[in-house]
Amino acid sequence: MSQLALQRCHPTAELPTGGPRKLLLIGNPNVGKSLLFGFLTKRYVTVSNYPGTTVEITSAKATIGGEQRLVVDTPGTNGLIPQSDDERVARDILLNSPGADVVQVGDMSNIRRTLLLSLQIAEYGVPFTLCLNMSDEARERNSEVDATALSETLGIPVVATSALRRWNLERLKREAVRPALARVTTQYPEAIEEGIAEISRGEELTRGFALAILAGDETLTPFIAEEKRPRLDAIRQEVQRKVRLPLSVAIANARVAAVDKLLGEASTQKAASRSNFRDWLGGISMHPIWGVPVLAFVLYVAWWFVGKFGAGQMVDLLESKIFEQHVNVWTIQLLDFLARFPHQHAIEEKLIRAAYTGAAGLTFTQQVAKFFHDIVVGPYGIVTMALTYAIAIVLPVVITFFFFFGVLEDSGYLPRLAVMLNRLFRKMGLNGKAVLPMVLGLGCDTMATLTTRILETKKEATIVTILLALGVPCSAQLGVIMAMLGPLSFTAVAIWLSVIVGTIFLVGYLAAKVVPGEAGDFILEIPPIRIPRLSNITIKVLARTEWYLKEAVPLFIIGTLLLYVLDATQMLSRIQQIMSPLVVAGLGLPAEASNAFLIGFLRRDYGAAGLFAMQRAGQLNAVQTVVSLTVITLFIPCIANLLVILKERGTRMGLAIAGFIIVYSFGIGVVMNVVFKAFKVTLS
Amino acid sequence: MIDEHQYDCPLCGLDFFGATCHSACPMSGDCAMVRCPRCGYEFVQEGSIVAMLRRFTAPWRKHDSPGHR
Repeated sequence: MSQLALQRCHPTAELPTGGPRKLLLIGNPNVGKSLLFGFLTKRYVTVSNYPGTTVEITSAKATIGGEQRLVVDTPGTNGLIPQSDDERVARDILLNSPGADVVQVGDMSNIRRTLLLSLQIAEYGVPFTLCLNMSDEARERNSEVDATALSETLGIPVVATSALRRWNLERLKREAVRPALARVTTQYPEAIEEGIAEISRGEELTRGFALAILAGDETLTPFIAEEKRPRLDAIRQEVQRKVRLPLSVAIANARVAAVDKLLGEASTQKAASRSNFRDWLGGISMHPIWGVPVLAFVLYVAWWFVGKFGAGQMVDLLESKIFEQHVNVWTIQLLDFLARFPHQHAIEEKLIRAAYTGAAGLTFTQQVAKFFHDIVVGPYGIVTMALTYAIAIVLPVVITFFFFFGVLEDSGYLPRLAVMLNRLFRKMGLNGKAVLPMVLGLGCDTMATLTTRILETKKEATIVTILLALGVPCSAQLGVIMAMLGPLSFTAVAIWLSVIVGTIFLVGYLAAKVVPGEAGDFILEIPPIRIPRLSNITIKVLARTEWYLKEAVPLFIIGTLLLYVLDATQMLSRIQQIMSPLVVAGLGLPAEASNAFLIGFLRRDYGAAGLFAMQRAGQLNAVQTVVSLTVITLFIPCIANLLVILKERGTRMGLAIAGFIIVYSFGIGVVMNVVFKAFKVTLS
Repeated sequence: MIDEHQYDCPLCGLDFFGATCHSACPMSGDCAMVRCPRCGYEFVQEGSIVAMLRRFTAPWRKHDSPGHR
């Protein structure tokens, strides 16, 4: 009989026939069905009584996943063997709506109760989509469920949502119109299986219907033809004779056991299901060992694309062709005309430069003119330094890097990198939760530092904060670092990478020693490996570029003004003198590199841009580039990050962290310089 | 910053509406970053340049891109 039986037997149709296909929301009480209904429909709803009852049914038309649907909110039910009018109505609507899209809504925190209903829907042969709602609460209670793994186990779409916070509702809309038949079968005791087979003999029955008869579902009696009742009763009594427990209890027990088995399978499902090249690639990207060469390949492509193409051709075009030949020349000539005082600009390769001589014995008016001139086009001028760095040097680099990063995001590689690092760090005994902030650091170190709050101990949070500040540059900074790596040899790049990765692992290893290695894993939904869409990446690049221009350029200007003030007050040369033992003798760099480290406090990429400009001008050889690049990479990311470190870890601990990072970064640089000199390494 | 746009997190795949700033962030209230409420990943909100581009290309586009809507 099953659905067909109910259709045949039921006295009236409960919902409007014709019109768009139905989309049923079914689930336990209080799981947020009505909230989801409100989100899905967003329009005038029809509330009507289900025929023969006082149970209210809410329905409304809506466009779901690009298709018209009549969305029906069914009463909450705990099972498909009804114990109340509400539950009977929910079951009847489900079984009386062949061809409808069914969405089972469940509470993620109460996954067992949810899956008990899922199994029953599956037994009725109804295709459905599982919506694990209230995922925000589950997350807070540490009872989050891996929806992807559960989907693979059940063979149906599973979406983790929060109707309250409106999480993943667009995805639910997409999946709601793509229900599937669950590929799970509950195994019952042998006598019950025989009873199912006996009841189904010669009838078009689903397992669900046969089980309902065996469990003594009296609500079905009126719908079973009278002449068939004695036979079904006899089968039921025969099965009950063989089973010690009441049949309804035995059936419920088997379902509970099936749910436990399902949850166990879901946690191991992912590793088993690799069917094609993309799955294979996705799989090895997450592998703690094979994931490393994949990461090395990704870094190589980044180095080639950003370091060679972005920092080479693109910077050449903007800096040498546009800024040096036109923008700077025109601005200097304009300022020389507007703010007049005696001076002669240096000429290099027939082009006028910011540096000048001959400005002595100036009158007060000429001093004022010189002030405005220098602010705009002096050696530390807004145009000749801040904008040249920001737009001619850093912008082309970050644009190419943002493009590359967009590809990583869209391809689904980033979450796999997180999983791979998680596995790698867990092998070292480090808490899995510690890895997530480090991956988040690729987006923004400041925010990632704030997420260290999820870590359970202060020690852990402190260690991850240090790891973040030391070895995880944010995307914009990573771009400039890649640019400096571009002209270097493979050996030089390998040395830089080894020092940075070595630092992360050294601190990680020490962390594992001092922090108890509690599991505390994180759940990350792993999207499939996808071919990135150019339009999507273009939009991301534009959005990030706009953000960069708005956020970084003002800091570049502030940094330049700071240098101008320090220079004008003779403080800059004094600072260079003070830093000389460290920068010149210790790191083996020119004294001017002090400026880069000074402005690196504001933003690491600005400091790196200064070093990059020195590298392009031939002021840094390969060894000096590697040493300075290592120091600036290990340096504190930006002033905002420093403020957050102070705020989160307290002033004393924050200053200690900042002090450690500064000492460590410069210390490593000094050691590298000494070793390079001792072994006469040239890296050319 | 609070907005009512819909976003897809590039890291964990969550789609969510609106973006609220972390109150402890020093850039709070004046930055263009959107934080995923589930995994905490930060990504850049679409700005006026993209909005302008969208307006210009609207007649030729059938659907919005999935990253931001």
